Amino acid sequence: MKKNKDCMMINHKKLIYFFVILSAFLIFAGALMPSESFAQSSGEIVFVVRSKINSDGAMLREVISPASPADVNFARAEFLSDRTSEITEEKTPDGKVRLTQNFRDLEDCIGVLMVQKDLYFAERFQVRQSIPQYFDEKVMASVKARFEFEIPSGVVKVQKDKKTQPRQFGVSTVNEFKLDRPGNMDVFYQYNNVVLISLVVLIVVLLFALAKIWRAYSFLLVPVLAVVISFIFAGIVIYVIGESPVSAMGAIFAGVFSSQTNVFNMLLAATPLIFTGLGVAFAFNCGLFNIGGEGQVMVGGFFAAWAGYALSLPPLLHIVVCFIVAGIAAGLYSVIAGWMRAKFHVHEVISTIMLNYIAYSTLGFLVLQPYFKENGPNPQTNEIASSAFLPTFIPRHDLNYGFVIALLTAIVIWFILYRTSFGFNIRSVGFNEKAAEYSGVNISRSIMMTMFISGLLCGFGGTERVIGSLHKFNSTGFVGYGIDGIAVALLASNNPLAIIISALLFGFLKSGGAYMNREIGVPVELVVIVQAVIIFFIAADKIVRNMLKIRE
Amino acid sequence: MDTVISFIIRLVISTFSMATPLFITAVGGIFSERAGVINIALEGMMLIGAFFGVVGAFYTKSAWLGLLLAVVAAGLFSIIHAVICVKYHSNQVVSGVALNMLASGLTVFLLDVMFGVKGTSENVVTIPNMNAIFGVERAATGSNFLYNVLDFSPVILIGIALVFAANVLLFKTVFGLRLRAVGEHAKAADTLGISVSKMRYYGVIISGLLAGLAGAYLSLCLTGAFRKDMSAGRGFIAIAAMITGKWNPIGAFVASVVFGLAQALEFCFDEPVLLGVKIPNQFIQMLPYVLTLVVLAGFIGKSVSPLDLGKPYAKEEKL
Repeated sequence: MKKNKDCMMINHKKLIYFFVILSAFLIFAGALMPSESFAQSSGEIVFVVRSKINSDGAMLREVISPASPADVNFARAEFLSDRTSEITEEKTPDGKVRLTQNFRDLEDCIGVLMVQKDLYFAERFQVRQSIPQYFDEKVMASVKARFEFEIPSGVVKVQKDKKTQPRQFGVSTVNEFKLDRPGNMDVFYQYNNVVLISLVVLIVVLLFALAKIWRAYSFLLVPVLAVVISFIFAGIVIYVIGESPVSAMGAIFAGVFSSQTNVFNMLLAATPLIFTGLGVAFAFNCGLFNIGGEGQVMVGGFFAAWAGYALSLPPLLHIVVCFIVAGIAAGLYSVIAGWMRAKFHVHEVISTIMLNYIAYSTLGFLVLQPYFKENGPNPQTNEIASSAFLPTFIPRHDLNYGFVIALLTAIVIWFILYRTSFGFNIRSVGFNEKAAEYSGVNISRSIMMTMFISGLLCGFGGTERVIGSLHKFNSTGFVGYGIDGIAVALLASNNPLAIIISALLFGFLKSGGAYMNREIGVPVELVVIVQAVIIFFIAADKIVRNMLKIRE
Repeated sequence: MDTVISFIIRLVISTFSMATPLFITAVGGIFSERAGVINIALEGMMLIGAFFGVVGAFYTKSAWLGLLLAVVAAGLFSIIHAVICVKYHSNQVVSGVALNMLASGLTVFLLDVMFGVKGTSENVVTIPNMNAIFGVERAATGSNFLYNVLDFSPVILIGIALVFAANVLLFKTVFGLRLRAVGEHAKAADTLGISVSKMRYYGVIISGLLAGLAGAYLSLCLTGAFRKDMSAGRGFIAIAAMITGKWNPIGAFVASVVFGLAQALEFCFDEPVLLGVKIPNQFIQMLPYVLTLVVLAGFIGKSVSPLDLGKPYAKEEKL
């Protein structure tokens, strides 16, 4: 009884008023202060890429960067757009950064050279079309790049399809490329430290107040505070490594909201996460922990690619068939874990982990078999027929109607879980397996059905990746979605509709993080750390509850 | 004859070099799981060990100090898991997933910040092999028998010793009895005056220390540098070995050696041939995982986990 006394409430209220007034004052004071500009890379970026083909066929590309970290980041992004090579980075004795790119395959490096040579003489929109995620207007606006090609004169033999084709190269070429437009910096950089920090304080306090006044909304508090705490944690980390937390956070925001392309990047990154999040959450609702999202996404992706190139169907039907084939394949793959759980009481966490690696190896094997593999050096399947391409919203950007399908799927799953007797049975098994059994629910069947649907949803995630943007299957392009799906589901408390929001948040972190890395030089892995901290605080919600003295 | 012998020596040594990180980690996992805490964060703890091994070796110029730092760092890292699982009674699998994610992000992040490189660290001093410790030189001519026999890392011996020490500790001492009691029936153990949370803390931290050692073995003995996500699923193979070995150090050791042998075959033959059919490497890679599922399903001797595994234990409130 003592805990419920009203005097506790009054104290909280006073505290809230105090913080609201304080924050308002700080914002006001901050607005009056001269705002500090964090613009650092306006003007021209100049860097030199020296490309050299050795006589043994290996190619070395070096960027010897000038002073600013933004230049290094730009060069790094430029290199990263070639996925066929390894990149190493070292500091030269005179304080510059040397980026070296090693190609494993001569064919690749020649391809890159050719593309590069053409690209930088082409119109800007073509550059963006080829590598949209790394080139946006702002960066391109202020770039002055010089590419030097050093190729041994004479004939270099290229092994292609077991036939040796000679190719003639010139001795040495130097290309210069320049675009003159002043760089415009982001509005977010103009924010003052004080304003941003007090805004965060204000949001936290308001939430705190809301949750205290409307108890009904207190379920929101833990996820939101988990996100806020993890951002504060990230800020501390950024501060410790000697960067400015405000400009880093500002860059994350700027990287998402500064242009239509960037917003679309976020939605594109969120799409597979909605699917895998739904998959994991669906299993959670039945009390099952599906860590197998990784494997199921891959299985789905593989079968979508197969259905995409092996069948010839009219456009819309082809897309539907891809989804169905991939969904059923991934669902059946996931049912193995459900079946083992129902039949042998094997814990699904262990079995799905094992199935992930089994899928990885098996698909790694299958993708090398002549029936599936495309002609060429890379281990990937044939490209799917254009009738199976998911239509995109705008030209030259990968964001496709898979996003809409993901939203609709979330609604359907919500309906199944909360408005059908099937969903009710599943949730009752998750809530209390024994009670559900006594009330006549077939536990084994529920578990297997749940795992099937969970796998199907994860498989849809892989399908969207393949027919939406990659258009072929390779065994490396699908890593991470299953695990991120767990984070998404946990943050959303397994509510299908909330998953849309939490997937958007993780998509925001992913696409914003890449931008931050480029602009500020803070490693992009910061995003992974933030994600992990969010899960920690969701998992240990008692920490948050104790902090705020909220009972469950 | 000579070539056969040298081939067998090579096979045995590579088997154990592959198996060592597995059984050291698996034994750690056994301590955690026998105490009732699911530990799928072994992968992340190995990664932390591998990274801090390199950091220690880089700054102290001594591989052994690097090894020590790795063990300590992974031990500290495992405390996060212990606190979240034992003190806050959270879902242990969720905590493990988060820890793996954190380790993967943190190591690459720190690699970038501390060394200014992406993906792969600089090469550091490695722990010398036994032949170097005993000063056996490779002879220019004639048989290199002694050199070849001693061409393995001392950490392998430490690991094997740890397996037997763990077996004694778990099954022959009071501490081991208490640890197992806490994992089998926490409430009964608590009634008998054993501190459940203390024993679980011990279990998780021991698993962290050992996983750190295994991780340092990867970076300081096998490669001599840190690579992004270099544990490459070994933490999960260790879990597979632990389950296949029925939560028993000796069993986990045997399972790890079998898995290690499979990997060593991949090294020693380009494409192993069984009954005239070539076995693709991918099938060897998935052997541990398939075997685990088979064992769990009870086709080859049933493997049963500790009874209270994964159940958080909260002492009843005082009235």
